[in-house]
Parts: sequence; structure tokens; C-alpha cells
Amino acid sequence: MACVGSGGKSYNRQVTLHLKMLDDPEVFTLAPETADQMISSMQEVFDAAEILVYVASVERLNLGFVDVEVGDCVRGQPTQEQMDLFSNNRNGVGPSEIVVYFVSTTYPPCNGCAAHPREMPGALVAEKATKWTLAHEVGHVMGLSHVSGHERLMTNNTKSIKATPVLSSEEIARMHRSGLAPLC
Amino acid sequence: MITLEQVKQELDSEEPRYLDIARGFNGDALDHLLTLASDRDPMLASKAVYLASMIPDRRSATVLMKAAQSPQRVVRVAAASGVRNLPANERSDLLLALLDDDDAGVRRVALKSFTSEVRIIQLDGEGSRLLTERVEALYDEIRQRAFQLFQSRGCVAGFDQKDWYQAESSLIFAPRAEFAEEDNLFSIVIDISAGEPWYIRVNVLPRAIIVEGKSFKALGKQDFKATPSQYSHQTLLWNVELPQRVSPCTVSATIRDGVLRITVGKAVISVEELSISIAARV
Repeated sequence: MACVGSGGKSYNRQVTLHLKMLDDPEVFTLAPETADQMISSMQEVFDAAEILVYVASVERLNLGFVDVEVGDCVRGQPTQEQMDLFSNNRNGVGPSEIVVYFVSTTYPPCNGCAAHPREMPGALVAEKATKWTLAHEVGHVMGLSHVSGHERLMTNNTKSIKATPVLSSEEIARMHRSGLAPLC
Repeated sequence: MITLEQVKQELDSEEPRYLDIARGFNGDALDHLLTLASDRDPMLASKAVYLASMIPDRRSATVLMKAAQSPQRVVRVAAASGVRNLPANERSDLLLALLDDDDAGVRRVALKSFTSEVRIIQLDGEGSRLLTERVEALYDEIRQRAFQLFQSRGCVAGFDQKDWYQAESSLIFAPRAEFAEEDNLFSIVIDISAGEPWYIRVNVLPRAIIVEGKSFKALGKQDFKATPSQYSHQTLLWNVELPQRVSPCTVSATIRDGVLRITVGKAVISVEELSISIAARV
């Protein structure tokens, strides 16, 4: 079996995303094209890993806040706000699927943050992040760490990326083993 | 010498390690951060603002104050989250500005940055006299207002308590409190509600505890020496006369989840005082 992308391209594996946009009409509403651009940029990178980026759902959440506290943003150590957000809004998403919360900003300010509660894979992405931030944060969720080199997705400075960033073979293998990109 | 480019490079990180970056920088970086705080890239500007809050320098507050006026909400949110890193005496004006922000999200983060504070002040002599006079003036005002309420109802008796509470609440916030006496100490528990942060002063007099408080929104607009007409529901006052002298150095006061707990040990009565006390009773 193969998964087929919107352009007809076939993939061996698929990562399933659920997009949840924190929304407050008086304060902040994410423009749909912001998420669309990040998704298509992510697919560009994930092509090298033979992984289809599949958006299973898009939801706007009006929770009364649009900014989320991330503390030092350390893997395995989400803040209470992250815990509450991830726990209360997963809404039946499967354990091997990833929830991405688009926020106006994190505090302290980060482009994104992949710290999440156990068994609730997910990440936060700030509205003003770069077009590669979504892919970068999902990379973290799939077990990747920062590397040096501005041509790599997992550089700690995606703003400096000039062309489609690359994944090493080790990184691809790790993504495949993560359980978050099952075979089609 | 730290260059603007060095600062920008650090801030362009996906997830900046602010503490580590701040350790590597000093006051030299603040001029650059002040410039970057108004950068057209709101992500860069907001990171610059937060980093400024982490550098112990008097100009940090200036960067945050400028950020609090930014047209970009994410920059103001960064100021609201960074304010907690400033020294306590540099937060007030900034927090007042952020708590008045039109954006509910900015206000929410600012509120989270401020936790209630409580300070114990031991008063004796002149300080004690001045505070007692101020409190007496306030109670005189409450008494007068209560009397006006009584008159406005045609001097019908039986509503004394209601009139007093109405007059009191028109001037101050007098929350529910419990006073208890144990073997060696007195304890006072005051529910000031967790809704917003307070700055509390526990004034310990030889035979009284006077608790004064300001909600943070009221701080800065008036000081603790305000006259009764300047008090408001954002001014807390709680006064208790103690049945015996207390030892001021034994006072402890904590505030948690909107509840202020005060304990104070009873003074050890000297043989001389005991003799006077017994003689007075005879």
C-alpha cells in the first residue's frame, strides 16, 4: 500500500497532524494561509523521508487565551499551561497522531515548542515563526535534536535556512522508528 | 564589545535559552536590545524584550517600558511575561501600564507575572501613633457614613450592622477574617480572594495588628498614606486589638491562594509587669 499526496505523489509512510488554532476574534485569529504555508514547507522536507504529511483535522479553539506559557521549553517538562492545553483539547486524537497548536505567541517568546505531556505527542507553533518551524517542531516530537548547519531542518535557527532544509539518514531512520510515521 | 549582529544571531534561535544568553551578555547588549525591541519583525522584537528582562541592569526596565507601548501585541506580551524578572521596585509602573492594556491577553500574562507580596513592618513610638491616627480617621469616616445612612432611612433603629458594613464597603475592602488565640500565639486568617494580586503590609504594634493592602491595580495611583476619601474597594484594611502584648520578632505572614495567614507569638510577661498587673487587680 502507498499513501498518495495531493499532487499524486506516493509515500511509504504518513504522519498525521491535527491543527488546533487558538482563537479569540478580539485578540488574535490565525490567517489560514499561515498554516497552509507551514504545512506545504513541511511536506517539502518530509518528502526526503518518504513521509506524507496528512492533516486530519483543523479546529479553532476559543479558550479565552491565545498565548501559552512554555517556561524553558524542555523536552518532557511541559508547563502547567501546556499540560492543561494538551490534556483538555486532544479530543480523541489517536496516540500516534500529532496535535499542533497554533498560538499568537509563547511566553517566553519562542518560534515553537515541542515539550508535551507523555503519550500526547504535540507541539506549539507561534504565528510569527518561520515557514520551517512547524516541520522543525514536529521533528522534535519525532525524537530529533538540534544540529549545527543552516542547511539542516534541525538547526536552531530556521530563519537562516535558504533552501529546502535536509534530513540526515540517521534522522530519517529515527523518524521512522518514532511510531509517529507508520507505514501506509 | 557585543555587536548587534551577535545579539540578533542569539535571538534568531527557534527556542532561545534566555538564561544562558543573558549570562553571556552584560549591559552592553541593552542598547542593541532597546533598538531591536522596535524591530519590524515582531518575533525578533519580542525575544529582545524578554532577553532584556533577564539582564540585571537598570536599563532593562526601560526596554520593557518601551515594549509595553508597542503596537505589536506579541511584543507587549513579551514585556508582560518579562516583568517578573525585574527587581520588585522596578515593576510597579510597568505592571500598571500592562494591566491597563486594551488586549485581554496582555493583561492576562501581566497578571500572571505578579504574585501577591506581603511585608511585615514592626511599629513602635511615632510610627505606631501615626498609623493609629490614620486608621482612626478612617473609622471616623465610616462612622459618619453609617450615621448618614441611618438618617437617610428616617432614623429607624435596628439596622446598625447593615449600615456599618455598607459604609465600610463604600470606603475599603474589609474581607472575611478569622482570629484565634492559642496557648502562646494569636493567629489571623484573612480571605482576600485569589482574583488579583495584592501588596500587603502587616503592621505589628505592641498590642494590635493592622493589615493594610492594595490591589496591584490601585498601587501607584495612591500610597498607603491616602486619606479616607481616597480609599477604595482596592484598599484592604483590617485592624485587630490584641488582648495582650505580642513579641514583634515572632510574627510570620504568608499569602497563598488568596489567603493571608498571620501568626504572632505572645510576649513573655516580665515579673515586673506581672506584679503591676496583679497589683492593678487587687
